Amino acid sequence: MSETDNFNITETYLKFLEEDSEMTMPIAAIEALVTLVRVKNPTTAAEVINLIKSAAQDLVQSIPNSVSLRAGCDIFMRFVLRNLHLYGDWESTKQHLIENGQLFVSRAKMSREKIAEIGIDFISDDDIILVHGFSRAVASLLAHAANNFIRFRCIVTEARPTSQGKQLYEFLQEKGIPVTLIVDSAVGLIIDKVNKVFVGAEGVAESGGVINRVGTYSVSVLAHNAKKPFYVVTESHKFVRMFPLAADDLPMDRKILDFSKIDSEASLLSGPTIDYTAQEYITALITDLGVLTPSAVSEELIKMWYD
Amino acid sequence: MSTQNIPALLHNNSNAVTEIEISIDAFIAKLKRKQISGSYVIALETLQLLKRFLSAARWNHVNELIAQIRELGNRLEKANPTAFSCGNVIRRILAVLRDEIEEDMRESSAAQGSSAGVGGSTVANTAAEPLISSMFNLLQMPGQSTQEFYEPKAKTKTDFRQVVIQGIKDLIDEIKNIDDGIQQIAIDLIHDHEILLTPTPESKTVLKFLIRARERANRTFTVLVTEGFPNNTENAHEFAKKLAEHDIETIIIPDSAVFALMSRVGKVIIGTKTVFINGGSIVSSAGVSSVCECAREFKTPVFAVAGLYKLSPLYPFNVDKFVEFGGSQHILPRMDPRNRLDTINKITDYVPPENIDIYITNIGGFAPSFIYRIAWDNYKQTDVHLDEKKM
Amino acid sequence: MSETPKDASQTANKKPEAAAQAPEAAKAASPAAPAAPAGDAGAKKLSNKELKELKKQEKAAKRAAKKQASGITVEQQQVQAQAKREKKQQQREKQVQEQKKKEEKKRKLLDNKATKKTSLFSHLETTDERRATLLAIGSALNSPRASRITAAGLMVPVVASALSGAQVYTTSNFASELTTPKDSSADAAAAANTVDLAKSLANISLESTNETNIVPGVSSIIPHALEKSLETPQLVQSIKEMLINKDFIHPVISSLTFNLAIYKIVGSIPRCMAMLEAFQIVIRDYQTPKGTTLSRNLTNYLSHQIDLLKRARPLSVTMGNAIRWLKQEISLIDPSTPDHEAKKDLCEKIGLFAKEKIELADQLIIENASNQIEDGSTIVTYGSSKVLTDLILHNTQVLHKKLEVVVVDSRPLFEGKKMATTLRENGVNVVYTLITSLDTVFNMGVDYVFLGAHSILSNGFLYSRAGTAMIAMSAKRRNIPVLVCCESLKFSQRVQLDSVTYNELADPNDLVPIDFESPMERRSNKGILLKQFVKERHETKVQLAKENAPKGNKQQQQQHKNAKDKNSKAADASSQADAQGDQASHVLDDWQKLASLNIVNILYDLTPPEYINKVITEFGALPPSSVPVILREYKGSA
Repeated sequence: MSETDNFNITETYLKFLEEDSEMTMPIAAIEALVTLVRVKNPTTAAEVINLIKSAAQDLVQSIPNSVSLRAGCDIFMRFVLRNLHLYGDWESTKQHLIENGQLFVSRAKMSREKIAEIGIDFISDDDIILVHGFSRAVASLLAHAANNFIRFRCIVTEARPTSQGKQLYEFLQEKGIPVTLIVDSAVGLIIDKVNKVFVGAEGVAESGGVINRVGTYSVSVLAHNAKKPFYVVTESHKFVRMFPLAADDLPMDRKILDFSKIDSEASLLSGPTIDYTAQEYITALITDLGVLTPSAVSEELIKMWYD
Repeated sequence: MSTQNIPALLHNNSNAVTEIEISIDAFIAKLKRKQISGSYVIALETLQLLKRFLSAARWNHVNELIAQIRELGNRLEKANPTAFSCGNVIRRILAVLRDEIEEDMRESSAAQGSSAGVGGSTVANTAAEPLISSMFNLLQMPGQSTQEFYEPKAKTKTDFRQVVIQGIKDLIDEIKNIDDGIQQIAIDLIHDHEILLTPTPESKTVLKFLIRARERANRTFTVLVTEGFPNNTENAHEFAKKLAEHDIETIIIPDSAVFALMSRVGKVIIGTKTVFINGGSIVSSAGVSSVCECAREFKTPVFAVAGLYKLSPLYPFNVDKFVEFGGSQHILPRMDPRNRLDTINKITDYVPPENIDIYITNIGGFAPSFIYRIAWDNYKQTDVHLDEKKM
Repeated sequence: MSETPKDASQTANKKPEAAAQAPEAAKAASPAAPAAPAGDAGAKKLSNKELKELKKQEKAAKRAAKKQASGITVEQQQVQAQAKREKKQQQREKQVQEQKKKEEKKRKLLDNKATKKTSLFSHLETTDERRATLLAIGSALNSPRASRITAAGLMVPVVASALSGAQVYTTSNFASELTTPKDSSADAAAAANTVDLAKSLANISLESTNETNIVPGVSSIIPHALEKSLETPQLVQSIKEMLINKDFIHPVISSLTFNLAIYKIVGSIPRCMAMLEAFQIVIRDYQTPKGTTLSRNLTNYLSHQIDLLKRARPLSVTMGNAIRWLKQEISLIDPSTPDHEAKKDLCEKIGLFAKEKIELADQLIIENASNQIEDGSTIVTYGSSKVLTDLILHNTQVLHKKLEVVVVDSRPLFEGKKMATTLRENGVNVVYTLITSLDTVFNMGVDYVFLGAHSILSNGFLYSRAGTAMIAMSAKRRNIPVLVCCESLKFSQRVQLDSVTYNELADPNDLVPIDFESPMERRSNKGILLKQFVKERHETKVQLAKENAPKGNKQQQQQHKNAKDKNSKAADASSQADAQGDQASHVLDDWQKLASLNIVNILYDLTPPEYINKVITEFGALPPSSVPVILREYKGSA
């Protein structure tokens, strides 16, 4: 079986992401792992565990921004372990996993709809909403609110260095939402005019803090200082078992500070793409599980791991 | 209101049903006119009404019963959206009922040897789409949503009427004995010669707790009472008088003096009307939010006492919807009609969770950030919005 | 409170016992002194025996009074009289001390009627204390007979009657002065008017003193004030001192003192203006005694006036600053200047000072602050401030800005009502609300908070009407800029860290009724003190009737009492009807009886500088931290 030998978890993962623009990293990771299970077809419990463990490790190491895919691997791992434990019935579990690969994707999308449903109450007429970075959950929430005839305006940050803000800006314009694009450094200037701040998340840490596009931390501190509510809109499968205290604890693809090389303007401006926002700056997390306080995140994680 | 028939009426025209309709209407009228006040009284009356409603209700399948109770709850909530305890107790009873149904289901499915339980989930899935209540649901088995539940099965073994009525009785007992539970915990939170401040003099729970702390625990302490002018001043004075009669050093202060004295206050105690799922709460005295803000500024701990029945599974998205305002005559009784002044007369107040340090309930003390958990222990997510038609 | 809680809690059930113990106390004491406790605290539990005793004491007291009244005046003390009196006084003081010990014992059992002090504020003078002094002095100023007796040995029963006399004086004061023009705007004519008034009132009070003398020292209007005068020797001392100097006091000052004491003139600027105007009159009328010069003696003379003013309410910072300036001016006068010239000069300087420090300063402040206010903004203010009212009117009427003003107000003074009405009458959009709705106010999209000031301390703290700090804090927490408009006259050298250490206690009784009138309105409308008097009298009667009922053998006594009651009833008939007609009973009407119940009515609080963005003065806008700079730089000229 050539497929078995040639299987590369990273490539599979990337392929999934590429094929479906709606797919998020944790789901792609789960899909990749499901594919792995299907291809390798392990038979014993130990084999299964080892296989998934090593694949997850490979995946995390080979992908530069691994936080949210780690969440996906975690869930999958936990799910497999638990079913093995509880029922010792690997076959049916495997069957279920393989058969329902697509189901996970659709459920993930559904959870975004659910978030939009729950989060719509947070948007009211005449609001000015600041959004930092591009997040599918935030975008779908805003679109949903606009579809429900809530009249609000958006300010979108550019979100350097990835400049995803532009993407969101275009999306919102398309949806007919009044929107303006600002540079990241202008947040302090406009924060007083803003009613609330929405951001997405790459991962939600156990403390309830979030790991997200770089700049989120600065925005959250400004919002906190200006007493503006700061909401994180995210799917619950992005909850990840990490407890960073500061940005140093995050898995970074490059050093946070690099004094050594200055060869080009591009490398000068490209730093790490994620940062960590501690829970005290977060008003609430709008998730598919409902509106959670940051402390509820750790409960969800505890429930998952210690049940 | 009477034109809006509950489904049961279509099937049954017995006298009992019309009779209960009359008492429901009477209760709704009372709620609307705010002739009944105080969450304690409202909760108990609602439960009594529910009890009678149940004895009169007829249903073929337990889902119909749920629908009927929801309908009733919805009507009561509509009548006075700020009488939260009404909806709270009904949701509690619904949760009891749903738990029982689930229990019953599991038994019967076990008996039938169904393979439905593979996922090991204990969530009562009554909605058409699986209710995601854990991040784990992403990977759950399909087909676990319990379709067979909707099949009008033959009569189940459990007598749901009995279950619900027992549930109501238990809840009434719980509500009546709430003070004991609260006092046990709360007394340990104050020390001798402490200066306490309470901006909610209308709270019976606070009053009883303070008196008990004085008499049984024999603590000596000073209580500052704010006046809550204009709507609560009389309560405040009576409250202060009662405390003083029980030999508690009591000082009445005008609302404006709170900041001046906050530096001397050891703890702020507030009674609540409703506690929302985010840990914020509505209190039935204006000015409390400012007092709590002051306390936060001085890092003075604020503790709120609340019976479990005051927990509401609602989220205060729009605080203005929940806060009550009164007429201007309470602020400017003699106004020159030509130069009319606009006034604001707040009756209740919303305290955000960040300004409360701890909630003392009859089942223990909880941080505001944990209130959501306690709420989900007692309510079902499906019942949050009683006005939704879907079950 | 000094009592142990247990004792206090038993008070209610121990009333009979207390009554039984009372006669012992009375016997042990001298004939004259013990009438006081019997007069107030004991009044309600008098048994027949006690009543008899009391009458005896009273007669003795009257005899003593007569004796003293016949020959001696306080000022011209003859050696012989003095020796005699001193002897008597010693005796009496001893007795008073004895009495006090008994009193202490009794107090534990009896209802506590003494002036109540909260443990938190026991270092501050209460209104009752102030009033006690004020009343004693007031009566002394207006009825020489009473004063002589009081000064002679503080013979309590007579002081009681003197006090009640004085009380009537003040009560009638409220009523009749309603018609007089506002004092803050008073010119010489108006002031003369008040002098006349004071004179006519003096007559009234004399009459009423006679009248109330029929009712022996029982149940004075403010019994605790009396008891207090027994308890604190310093207070007695200060009363004595003031009485000795009573001839120095100018009638304008005494009238001003009463106006201040009843909150007829409020606000640090109006108070200062009124004082400066009064001083102008005082200086005009001043005659330098022989053997001294104006520059030396006038300061001393003014000190007596200031001493009396202090008794009304603690001096405001503005008054203090103005007094300091005036004293300096006086000391700078060349001794060779003729008196009339110096006096004229001083009066002009005072006028100039007021104009420069207050009127011109206000104009500069308004000009400066107007730059800050954008068209279409919403402004929150608290209480009432002259300069803020002018500022808003200037912006809406002269600069034609469209403003929304939220006036936040609070109990018990309701000062903001005046400001809100003034603004509304001038077509400004006003929302009037109470401090309890603060949260909602700040959710309305407020642009600025403008605050007035009583004073700004040299550590940058704002000392202003109670409640200001809460507003500033709430605004700061919501990132709303807080601006304070404040004349530099209000800058104080003092430093203070919190609102408890130094403050002013207002009358706790102002918080008892639950309505919307400020105490000032209430008094002028209904004469509440009179009603209080009637009520207490009524209670006494009921109590007595109750206690006398079982022992019907001493009918005579009772009849006598009844007759007395009738007397007083007739006197107050109209007011009583009035009282029963429209004064609803309040929950706390008898709060004084509850030992552990206190009402604290503080007037000021302290706002930390971090809540204040900007202080606007006539020197321009500055951060609160710059207050000491201004003090240093400009104090020389101020």
